[in-house]
Amino acid sequence: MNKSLEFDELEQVYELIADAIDCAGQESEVLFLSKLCITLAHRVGDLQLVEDAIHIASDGQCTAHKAAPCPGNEKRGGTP
Amino acid sequence: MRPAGKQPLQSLYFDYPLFEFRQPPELHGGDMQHPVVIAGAGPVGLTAALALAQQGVASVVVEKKDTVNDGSRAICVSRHSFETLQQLGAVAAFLDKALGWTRGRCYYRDQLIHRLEMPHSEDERFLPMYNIQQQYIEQFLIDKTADYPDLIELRWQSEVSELKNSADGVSLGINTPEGSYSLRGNYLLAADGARSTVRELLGLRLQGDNLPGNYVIADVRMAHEFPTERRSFFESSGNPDATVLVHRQPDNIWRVDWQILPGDDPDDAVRENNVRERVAAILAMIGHEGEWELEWWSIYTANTLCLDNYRHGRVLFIGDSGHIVPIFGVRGLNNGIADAVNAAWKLACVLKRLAPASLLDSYSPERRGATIDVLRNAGKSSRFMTPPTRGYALMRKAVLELALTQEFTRPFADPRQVQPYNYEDSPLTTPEAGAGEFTSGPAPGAPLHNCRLDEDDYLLDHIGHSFTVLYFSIEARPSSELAALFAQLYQLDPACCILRITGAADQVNEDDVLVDASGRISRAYDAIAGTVYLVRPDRYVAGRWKSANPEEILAALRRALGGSKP
Repeated sequence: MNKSLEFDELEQVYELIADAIDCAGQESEVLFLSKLCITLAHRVGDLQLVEDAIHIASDGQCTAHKAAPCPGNEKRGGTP
Repeated sequence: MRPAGKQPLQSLYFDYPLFEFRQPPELHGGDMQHPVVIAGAGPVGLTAALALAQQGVASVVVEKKDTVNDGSRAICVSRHSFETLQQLGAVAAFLDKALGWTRGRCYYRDQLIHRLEMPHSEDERFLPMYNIQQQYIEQFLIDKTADYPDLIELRWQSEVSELKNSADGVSLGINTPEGSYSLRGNYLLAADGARSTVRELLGLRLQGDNLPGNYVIADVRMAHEFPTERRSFFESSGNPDATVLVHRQPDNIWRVDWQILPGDDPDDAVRENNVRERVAAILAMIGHEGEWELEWWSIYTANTLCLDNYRHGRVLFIGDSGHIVPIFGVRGLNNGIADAVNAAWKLACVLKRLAPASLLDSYSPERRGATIDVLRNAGKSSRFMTPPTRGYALMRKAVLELALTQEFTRPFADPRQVQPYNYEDSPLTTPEAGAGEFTSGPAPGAPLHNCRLDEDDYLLDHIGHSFTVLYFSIEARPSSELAALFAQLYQLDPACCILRITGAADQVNEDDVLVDASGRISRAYDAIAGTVYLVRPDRYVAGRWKSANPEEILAALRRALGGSKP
């Protein structure tokens, strides 16, 4: 398990992210946050930690994607 | 679809043959039971017919069309499929026509973000991928069937209308321009494609996820200078809202694919003026300023569907009739070809009474396993290429934007190309007895690796059509123990090919001896004197032994022929 940030460092992160969201602007804030998440996940290097973080941040509401089945009968093509 | 004013099969570069209807004996009261009936003369059905004929098994192929496929459709043929074509003796025409490739480029907002490099080495005879139009694939395979006038009968303009699947054979109703007749066979291979009539007649349904995402595929003819590579474009200036793919094909034909947006009407998207407008924008984006002619276009949907079982009594489903996979990764045609050869060698062994009918039980787990593996990979590719939800679209944008400057997200753009499936868990595969004895080489369940021996001489050039035994020995004569084993192997499979691989260079004149003077094969296969590989007719390793153990090798061949475990 990685070391958690000290509270004063977390406070700095809080403000850094707030400023970055404002800097990105309303149009791009969601994209910015997505990029931030995947970059942080890459740097953290621990899948379980990331899964835990997703669970915490979504209040445990969101689980793995599962597409609903439905019949198909379409034409075929063939380019990779 | 073709441009206004063109006839349905009026192509800029391909003369569609017309295959005449010929009256079969059944139309005049002839009654015979054919060893194998194949429904569908597409690439998969034709491959099965050739693979059966090579083993001496006759088949009748029924096809409702009177020509080859309309349009280029499946254009990417993998190295593994080329190795199959080589084994079938059909690869020369493909090598003459096809455009091979090893690389790809991925662009985001017209900037290069990823360079795709397919695995390749000097040990390979074939490149990782070849582009060739489906109608050439079919034409070349049809041409090859002429080598087997007594074993392959192609019946054109013959449509399956009824099917009885009973314990001792199949009986099909066939409609033709000159009347209907009943066609009987010991087995039926259903190679009749995504809209399989056989599947429908058996009341079977494909199961699984139908991922959203429609693509238009369009072929244009133009003089355009660019290497044969896979080019993919995300959010390009030529089509900002959706993904674009560009592939080179023979005859100056270029494949341009683009995604239809979820809200857009597919019927509208394939109207000629809309296709022309989109193609023009994409060609401008890739820097093509000259003339271009529209040849053909079509639409496809990214599906992930398959049957729960690929074998229903005496009917085996091969290719799209049993599974529909998304196009990303070129798995439809290539897995269909693998289905065909898997089903063909097993049917041949059963029909030649070398194996019990229970050998066919292994077809579904092996090939359905391959489909599930494909769906797993292709599903990921599809969700990237055509994000099904806002969340997926957002994450894709995030990694693509990062990829402009960061290495770590660039592999997301990799198309996860087809790789041969591994039959490690198959009931036919004998696991290694001593774990860790081998440190390299193809393990049981994996396909053979090719290995370069000399100029224009590779290991796979020497593989047989049925089972092959590779045994590494410098002794010109096998020990009495091995000689006894080989005699027993020939009894189990008279067409078995026993290939001795030796380091001694003084034995070059024997067909069944490969001289590995540099030790290249021995190293690649981690072999010592006495090592044996048992290889199935489809080039998969059924078992391997660091030191030959005749009893175990014999048991492994029995097992690979559908016998019970030793």
